[in-house]
This record gives sequence, structure tokens and C-alpha cells, in this order.
Amino acid sequence: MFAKRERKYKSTPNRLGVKGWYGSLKYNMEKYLYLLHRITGVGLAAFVILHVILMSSRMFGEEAYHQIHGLLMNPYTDIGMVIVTAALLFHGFNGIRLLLHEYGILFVRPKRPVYPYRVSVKSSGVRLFTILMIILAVLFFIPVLYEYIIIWW
Amino acid sequence: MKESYIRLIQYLLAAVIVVAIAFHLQLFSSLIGPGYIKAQTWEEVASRMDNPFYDGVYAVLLFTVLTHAFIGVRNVLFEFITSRVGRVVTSWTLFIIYVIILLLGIAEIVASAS
Repeated sequence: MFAKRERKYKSTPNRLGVKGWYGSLKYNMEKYLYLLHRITGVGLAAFVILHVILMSSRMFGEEAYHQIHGLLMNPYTDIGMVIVTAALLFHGFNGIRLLLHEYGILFVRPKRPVYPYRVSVKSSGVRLFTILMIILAVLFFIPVLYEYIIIWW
Repeated sequence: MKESYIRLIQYLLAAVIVVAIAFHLQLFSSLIGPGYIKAQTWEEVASRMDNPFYDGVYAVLLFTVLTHAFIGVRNVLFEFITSRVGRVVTSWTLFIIYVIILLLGIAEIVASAS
């Protein structure tokens, strides 16, 4: 019976893909943070590629740099940079949280889910630490906003 | 390479990025650095290009961020590419793009340092 179940399990791989990320409205906060971590990660990867390509104009001298820089001097780029910085801060602080949690630093290591599926993140101050990381990301975002407010004023 | 090693590399790179990116971003804060506008002027950019410390920071950032990004994108893509052939093609395609962007970044750092 178990062998049959095993075969059935192997023949039905997870094909939900990205749709699986949004699977349920019953997700807890950590699951939404996971979703946001993925989205910001993909966005930041796209930004990094664009950033390296655009900044490579430096090697062609001052004129080439000014040409590219002139194209980027508009309010849309500023708004884009605010979003990128917010995504970066979130991805960074959430990443630190995930690293500490995965290796059991400060908290107990995550366990394999066993019936009755108690959520481990609600214990040992893990949830509190998650909230602390979000607060830190928001606090670090304040100087970023300050910088852009200076420009816009 | 085993997936567990790739994951470990991903985590180690993340730890390095946190430190290296702090050096990069402090330039854009007028509270602790030149500020967003001044940091982008050619004079500031040229002075950083002549500074071996920033060349080092940029080299570390380029390698760590690009590697972390491409491993991350690969992980995301693997969530909905389940066939073995599809995964091999995805890995190699990403690797080729990764090498091209890395070489472009290295060329920029070398050119600006010399």
C-alpha cells in the first residue's frame, strides 16, 4: 500500500509553479513574506542587470556617462529608485531573518511538519523577531525617503 | 553540483552582500556620505574610479550580487520548470547571461581602474 502511495506521489510532481505562491488566503505572515521575498528578488535581479549595463558607460568616459545619466534624470527614475531601495531593504532584512531562522541562530531550527501541524514560528519569539526585522527595514527606509524628499523639494 | 551546496553558496553570498552593499549605499545618503545628487556627478564618479578601495568593493559587489541573483532566479524558475531537460536548458541559458554581464562589469572595473 505504501509503495503504491509512493509511486503515486512520485508521478505527481508539484506543477503549481508560481501560481502555488498565491495558493491560499489562509497563509500566515511568514508565507506572505516568502512571497514578497521572491517577487522583490526577481525585481532586484532585473535591476542589477540593467544597472551593470547602464553603469558600464563609465568606461567610455565623461561624455558617454553624461549621455546615459541625462536619460535617467527624470521623476520616473527617482520613483523607480525609491521602489528599488524599498525592495532591497525588505529583501535584505527578510533574508537576514531567513538565514538566522534556517540555521537555528537565536531560535530553534524549523522542524518537519508533523500532525497536528503546530506552527513553529509562533513560538520562541520568532514572530517577534520577524516584526522587529520589518520595523528595522522601515527605519532604514526613512533616510532613503529623506534623500528623495530633498531632491523633489 | 549538489543543490545543497548551491544553497549554501547562496547564503554565504547573501552575508557578504549585506556588508558590501552598505558601503555602496552610504554614498547616496547625505547624512553619512556625499548624497544622492553629488554621488552621481562625474567628479565623484571619477574620484571613486581612482580609488582602489571602491574598485575592490565594486568587484566584490559585482561577483556576489550577480551570482546571488542568478542562483535566485534559477531557484524561482525551477519551481515551474519541472522537466530535467528544461532545467538543464534554463541553467545553461542563465549561466551564459551571467557570464556576459559579469564580463561587462569586470571590463568596466578594469577600464576605470587603469
